[in-house]
Amino acid sequence: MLKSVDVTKKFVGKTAVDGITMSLEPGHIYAMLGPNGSGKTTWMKMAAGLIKPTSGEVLYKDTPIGIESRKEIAYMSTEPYFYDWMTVGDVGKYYKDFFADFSMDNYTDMVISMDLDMKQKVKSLSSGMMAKLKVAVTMARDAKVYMLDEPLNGIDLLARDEVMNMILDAASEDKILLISSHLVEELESVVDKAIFIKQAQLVGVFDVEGLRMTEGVSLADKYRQVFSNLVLEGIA
Amino acid sequence: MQFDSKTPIYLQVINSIKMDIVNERIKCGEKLPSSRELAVKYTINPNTAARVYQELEREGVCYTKRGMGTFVTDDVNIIKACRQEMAQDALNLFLKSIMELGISNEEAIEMIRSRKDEM
Amino acid sequence: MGNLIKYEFRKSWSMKGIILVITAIFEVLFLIGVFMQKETFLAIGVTLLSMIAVCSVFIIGIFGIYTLSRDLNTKRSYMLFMTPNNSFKILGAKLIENASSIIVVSVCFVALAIADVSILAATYGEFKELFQFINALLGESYYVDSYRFAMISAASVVNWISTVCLGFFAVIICATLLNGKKYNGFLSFCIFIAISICLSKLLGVFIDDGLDFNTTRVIIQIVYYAVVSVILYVASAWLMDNKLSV
Repeated sequence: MLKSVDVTKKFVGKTAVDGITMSLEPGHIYAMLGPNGSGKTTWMKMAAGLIKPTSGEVLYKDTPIGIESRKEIAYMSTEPYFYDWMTVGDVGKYYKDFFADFSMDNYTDMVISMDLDMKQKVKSLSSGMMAKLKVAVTMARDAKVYMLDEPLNGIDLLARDEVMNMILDAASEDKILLISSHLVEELESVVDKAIFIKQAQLVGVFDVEGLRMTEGVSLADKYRQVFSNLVLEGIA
Repeated sequence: MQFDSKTPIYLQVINSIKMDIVNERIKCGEKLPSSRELAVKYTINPNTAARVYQELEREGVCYTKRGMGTFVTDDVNIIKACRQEMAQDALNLFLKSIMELGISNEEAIEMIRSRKDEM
Repeated sequence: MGNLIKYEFRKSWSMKGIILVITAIFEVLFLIGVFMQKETFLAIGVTLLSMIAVCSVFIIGIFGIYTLSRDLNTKRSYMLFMTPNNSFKILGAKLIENASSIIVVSVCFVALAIADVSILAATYGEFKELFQFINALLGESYYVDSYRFAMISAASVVNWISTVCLGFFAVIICATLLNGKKYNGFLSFCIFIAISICLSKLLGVFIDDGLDFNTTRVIIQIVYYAVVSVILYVASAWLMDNKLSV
């Protein structure tokens, strides 16, 4: 459903994404794993249509990413992006105004369960509360694809459970969920597929249970195998 | 629940559910959570949760009533067999570690006896 | 589109509120001058009111360009470019907000001016003579009447809107083609000045630059700047749709 065909993104003096080809299918929760700066965010932004690939293309239902795909692909960036004047409630209204699949009722429920206050100004939110707000407003959409960039960053243990529950609630047969993180252990039991990205390139897409059955290793073990070489190479 | 890092997660969840059934924390014929609820309860992937029920059904530990959900079997024998199997697994594990320590089975039995007295 | 326009208005609320408050203060000064017969207050009030009238139209345009720049170059950009709206709509909403604000504010200040002049005339009763005196002083070619005033005002407003479009275009060129982060603001400004000079040179091909009033010239001017605005808008939106990475 969501395909990346030899996608490359070059910035001045740096290749952020280098020839990534892969295909994501509905009914799965994908983890996108790799050290900071490996290209996870850049790839997601291309799939969200926020930045354009230097070469190659991202296809959603066999059509290049564009205005139409934004109706069905919900993207949450790492950085806060709301307008300064907004309250938690205004953020919901904004999404309601622009996304046909947004449910104010779901949003209200999530805001309450996350201990947020509709009247609070987003400017005054702590980083943990901001992280929760971003997840809530994104997950209150009934999208076909959810892409969450580092949703667990900066939030405490209890909030993490809440976020995980929201993710599990949204998962279904006809949806793709993609979560990037550098906290492998946190995601291990929730995701069923893991995309490893190393130095802008795709290492592979692994089946989490498959790894345990065939190689007898956990996702975290595999992550160490793949990425610790990187550290050693760096030293040598 | 904490998962160990070697065995597949679905097997670990199956064992945990079987343990609950054997311990009668979940009763014979009782309705089990939906696979979605199971996913949330154990914080596992919904596909893994579905697989847990597939396996449990295949083993006859539970069955699905159309439109009603998944239930624990009423067949006490299956549960007994379950207990036996799990006891065997525990025993195998125990014997394996004892053997690695170079302790004979007789010594081990003696150790269990004396331990039991203490308890 | 309606929603986009709504949020564009929301972004300039506070700035417009400030203009409103300042205008109110100046108006009060003026009214004190009129009714309490204090000439100094009157003079200060009139000066400040004319100043804020001109400035506010400029400020609104420049604020629009500044808002666009922030909407393209900061994380705030996601708020617009994550929504299923193409750039023609996004930029169109900004232009509609800005142009209508400029027009509404201009009309409001003209209305205020007429009201104030009427108050003045009613109070002093000699205002008509004052007008005649001024016109006599300016001479035939600069003669001010309501028709000329309306035409010239309309031309200025259209001219200013096209300037705002040019500002948008310069900011967008910087954010798309040049993608240079460091000197973005300065580069935008250089592009703005360069194109601005070219545009007025091009206008010079169509009309002479006489200072006297001439209906045809004003109409050509209005049409020219309207066409320029549309071209700049289409080019900007096309660039955003095809080349923009936020």
